[in-house]
Amino acid sequence: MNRLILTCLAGFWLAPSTHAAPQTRQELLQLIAPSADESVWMQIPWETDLTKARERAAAEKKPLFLWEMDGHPLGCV
Amino acid sequence: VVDRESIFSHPEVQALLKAKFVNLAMNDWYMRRQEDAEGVFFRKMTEASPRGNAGQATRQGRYVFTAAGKFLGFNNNRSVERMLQLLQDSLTTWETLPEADKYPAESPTKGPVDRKYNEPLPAGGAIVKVHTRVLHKTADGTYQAVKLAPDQTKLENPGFAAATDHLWLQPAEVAALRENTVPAELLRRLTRYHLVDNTRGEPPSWKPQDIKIAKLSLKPESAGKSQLLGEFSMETADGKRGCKLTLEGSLTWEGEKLSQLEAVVLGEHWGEGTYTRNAREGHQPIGFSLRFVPNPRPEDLVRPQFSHWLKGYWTATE
Repeated sequence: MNRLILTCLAGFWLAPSTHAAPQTRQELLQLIAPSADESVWMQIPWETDLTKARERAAAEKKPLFLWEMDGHPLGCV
Repeated sequence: VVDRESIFSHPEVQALLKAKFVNLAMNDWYMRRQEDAEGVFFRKMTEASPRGNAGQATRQGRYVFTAAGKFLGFNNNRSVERMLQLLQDSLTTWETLPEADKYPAESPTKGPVDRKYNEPLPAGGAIVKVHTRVLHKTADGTYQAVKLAPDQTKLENPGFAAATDHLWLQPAEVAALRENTVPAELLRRLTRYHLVDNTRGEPPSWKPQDIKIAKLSLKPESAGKSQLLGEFSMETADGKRGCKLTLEGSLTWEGEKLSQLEAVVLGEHWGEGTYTRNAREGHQPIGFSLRFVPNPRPEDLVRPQFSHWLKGYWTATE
């Protein structure tokens, strides 16, 4: 039978972490987050609101480009 | 991830999109279902595209259209050349259009919004940006990003880039954390929906019975600062997919206001989901970064991936 331990009591204290990585937390955060190379696509100013984007397109006299994904392109995987 | 790196990072695509278009990114799962003015507008526009009337089926792809709703172009492939062609062809068509096809007669309005698909983060809640990356661990324990082999291309989607999601916290949960208490719902939500290998697409969430260990605790460190430690072990019934992880982080407060939450989750993962094939063989290192977003930009307000049914996301019991 599966053993389920679900503990969330403030008083409960875990043993010291087993990360045991020689890197600091800041170094690890930087490693895991998207790098500058991986973030180039965010230099495009993406709107996320269709109505606001249509207002902008009319005001700026431009067509709209839509990137539509099953899962939000800016937040999904 | 592949689209981001292979198409939308390309300098010519970027230059055209920035100069000539208003750019919009949306979630098809919501847009094809929304029963409100935006959903109706979107579906009507896409029905003129090669997608046609897709009903409840996916309409994902790249569309060019006008503020008045006139469809101009579509593609759904990963060729930079074909993307550039789409943009150029659409601009050519745009130049020939009468004003009535370009601009709406009246300023667009949202009207009553379909709340089922537009539920925002509750006021007083918090957003935590969650990134995931598969890692390589050297002999001395140093973690590194995994690099493409010389014969691999980004288009093969090996999942070596960082994935992004957002963990949402209820106002009451933020208040509980201030008291160094981790609400059970928050722990379940983090475990089931955010400590998943989403680097190759949308993975299955963990079922409640997959969770073997989920511990998260807060220890006051100094005035206004607490240390956050966690341990997690998840495994499917057949043992083919799993994660063993530890978490280290901290929370900082300015009075009752959360000013910083950052944590690193490290460990190993194995296996793959139906839509996340081609995982590395065996047990492999993986890392997650969690960071509170104090001043969200539009991209930070994107809903959590597993929040299609928001009530279920909050409770994380179903």
